[in-house]
Amino acid sequence: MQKIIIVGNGISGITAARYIRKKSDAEILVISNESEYFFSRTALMYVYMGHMKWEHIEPYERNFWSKNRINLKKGLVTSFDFSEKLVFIGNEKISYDKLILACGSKYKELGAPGEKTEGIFGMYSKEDFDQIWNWTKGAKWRAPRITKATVIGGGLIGIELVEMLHSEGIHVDFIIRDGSFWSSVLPSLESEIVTRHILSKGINLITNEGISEIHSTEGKVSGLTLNSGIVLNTEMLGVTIGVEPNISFLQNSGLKLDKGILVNHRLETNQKDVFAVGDCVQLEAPDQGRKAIEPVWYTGRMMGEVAAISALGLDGEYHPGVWFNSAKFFDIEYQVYGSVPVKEKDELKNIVFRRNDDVLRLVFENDKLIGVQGLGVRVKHEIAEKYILNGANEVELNSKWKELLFDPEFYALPALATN
Amino acid sequence: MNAISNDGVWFRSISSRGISAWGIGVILTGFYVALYWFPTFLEPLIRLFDPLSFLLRMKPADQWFLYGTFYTLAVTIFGIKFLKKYKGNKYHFYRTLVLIFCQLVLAYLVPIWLSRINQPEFYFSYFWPLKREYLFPSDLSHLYNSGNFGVFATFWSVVMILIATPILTYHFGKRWYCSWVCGCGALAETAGDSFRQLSDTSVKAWKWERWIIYSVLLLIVGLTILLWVNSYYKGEVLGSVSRAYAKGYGFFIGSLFSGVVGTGFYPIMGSRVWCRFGCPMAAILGIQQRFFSKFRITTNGGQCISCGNCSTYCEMGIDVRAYAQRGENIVRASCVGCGVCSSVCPRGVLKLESGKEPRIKF
Repeated sequence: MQKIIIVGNGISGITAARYIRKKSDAEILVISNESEYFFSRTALMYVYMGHMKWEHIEPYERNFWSKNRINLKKGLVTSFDFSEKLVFIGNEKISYDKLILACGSKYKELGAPGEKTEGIFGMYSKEDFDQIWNWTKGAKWRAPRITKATVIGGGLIGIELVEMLHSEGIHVDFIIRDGSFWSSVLPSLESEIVTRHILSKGINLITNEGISEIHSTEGKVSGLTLNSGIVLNTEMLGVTIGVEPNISFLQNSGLKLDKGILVNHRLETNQKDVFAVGDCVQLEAPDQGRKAIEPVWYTGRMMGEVAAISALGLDGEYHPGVWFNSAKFFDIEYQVYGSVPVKEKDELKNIVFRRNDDVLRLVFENDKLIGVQGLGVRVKHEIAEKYILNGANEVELNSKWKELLFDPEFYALPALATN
Repeated sequence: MNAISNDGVWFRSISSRGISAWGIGVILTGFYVALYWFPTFLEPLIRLFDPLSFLLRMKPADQWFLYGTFYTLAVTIFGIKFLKKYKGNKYHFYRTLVLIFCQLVLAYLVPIWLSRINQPEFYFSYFWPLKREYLFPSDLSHLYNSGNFGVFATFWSVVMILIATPILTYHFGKRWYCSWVCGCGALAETAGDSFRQLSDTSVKAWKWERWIIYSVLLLIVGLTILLWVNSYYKGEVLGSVSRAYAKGYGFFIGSLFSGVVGTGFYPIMGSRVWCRFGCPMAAILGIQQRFFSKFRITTNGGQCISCGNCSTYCEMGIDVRAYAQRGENIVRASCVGCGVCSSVCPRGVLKLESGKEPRIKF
């Protein structure tokens, strides 16, 4: 019986383990240093805000693992011997037949002077989460240990961290590089709606800014100098300018690396019987319209399925299809399918439906649907994907766009906006 | 689309089985014990409601008037609180207004008015087997023989149980009753809303649920049949047995289970203990919903992030996430269609609907 070792128990590693079990009797060992059991990383914020307890964000009951003969081991993998097929946890060595690396991301550091001081956190791992919890939470809910925090980086994790700190009653300065929230991805209408929403929550949004220097007092962060010279006081700095593959421990291991672990469509690395999945991966030749590194939950899950197939020697390749993603900006839900470019071009036509501040946007390129985006409007995945794949035209969607909606019953239809 | 804030739910004592939750549990349980078996303890409280009782009924209050008034007040006041919390969500808006209407009008004012004009005190929003007497031979014949209204009420009872219920459940699922009409559901959805996250989501709890609820269903079906047989033989064969059976059912299921445990344990076991583990009406509707209904909760493709909000806030303890993260529709007997899983989902993954396509994808 072959033995498969998976390093990392996030969504991609665990999906790989589940699919291997579905399709084979192989011995499975999942090694992680982050947590005993698989948890939903995207739900960490809800534990912080008190919507759920830790046990609620574990998607499987704890007897699931033994029942499915998926062995779990807590430990930090330090090195490998790919020729002898060995994994090292410090001095302990474990042999494998197939190895799947699912070692995830880590948050990008700012690179500003003074960054090595206490009170500066990313928001990616359980360790980051625990540190933020310990730094900010007081004995009681909404009696925080600090009164003022700063978050830099206006992406999806940034706004989640802002919401977390805000829910605890901490005043938040939110520094973003652009003129309005996530305007590198969101069209200006949507970006402005979200920006207004953030301001309405009492967040001090600071646009077109960056940090040039971090100040500390007694080893703890105490203030920031912004690019414009403005000085802010703060008791915590959240750094959410992005994530990058967590591969520093793999330098000189013999694995071919670039920004991430390089893999082909079978998710094979350059080393025999070694595969890689999820956030740590960089595709050598991504499909058209997709990026080489896509550190999101959904791609991790899809890669996990393919890695299982690949490791078992079955047929299948990683072709994730039409891009999709989702997020929530405080109270506003966001979903996107396909491509919704920010820049206006002649061959692009946007059709916008609105229901107050809810926006449904259809993007056509040369009269073919290439993207659907909902802000406060729920969009049906299968239908959006179908019409994008078929390249449905405007006339066709004139009669069928309502099929795209996934809003709850009794909700009013968004109306065609004339602008 | 507005969002619901569940900030601090697991940090507050009241909603996370803290000291105040246990305190309220003890008070509620004590109230029910007094109500059913030691009403004299409630005497001072009952007397406070004499003025209202005289105003509405032209007679002094009793423990049941007190209970009905408290119950209706709770549904109305917490219903308004619920409407505020879920503001902007149209499904909850209509649903909660209907729930408040059914409790306030159909289950409170109408029966009071009926008794005031010397008609049988009839509840249009309750049916057999939840309101078990409504298909018992003695009660039915008593109702039938009490005049024109009685004939109408008998007719209503039988038609609702045998004809309307299956049709409505086929089209809308059991939610048309359990979270739009029923008084027990109304209390759970309003006063119980702060406790929905306490329902046990484990597979083990699901096993217990099925054993207990279908046992209660068998008990009440058995009892009803027994009473009809007994009535057919004019009480000669099984008179004392069926009387004891009916009394036992009333004590253990009617009072102890649905009252003391069902409501008293809200702050500890969640708001739907009775509906989930005990209610025979929910059991029948659930069987229909599982096998003969168009209702389902659909999952939006691959958008689930396995966060667990849906499972946590399911008052029926359904592990919604287990289905959603596999992209499967949710078709479960126990689902009362409250719609909260869909509302708390941060990624817009869940939708309650009565659709045409097959309910489960294979």
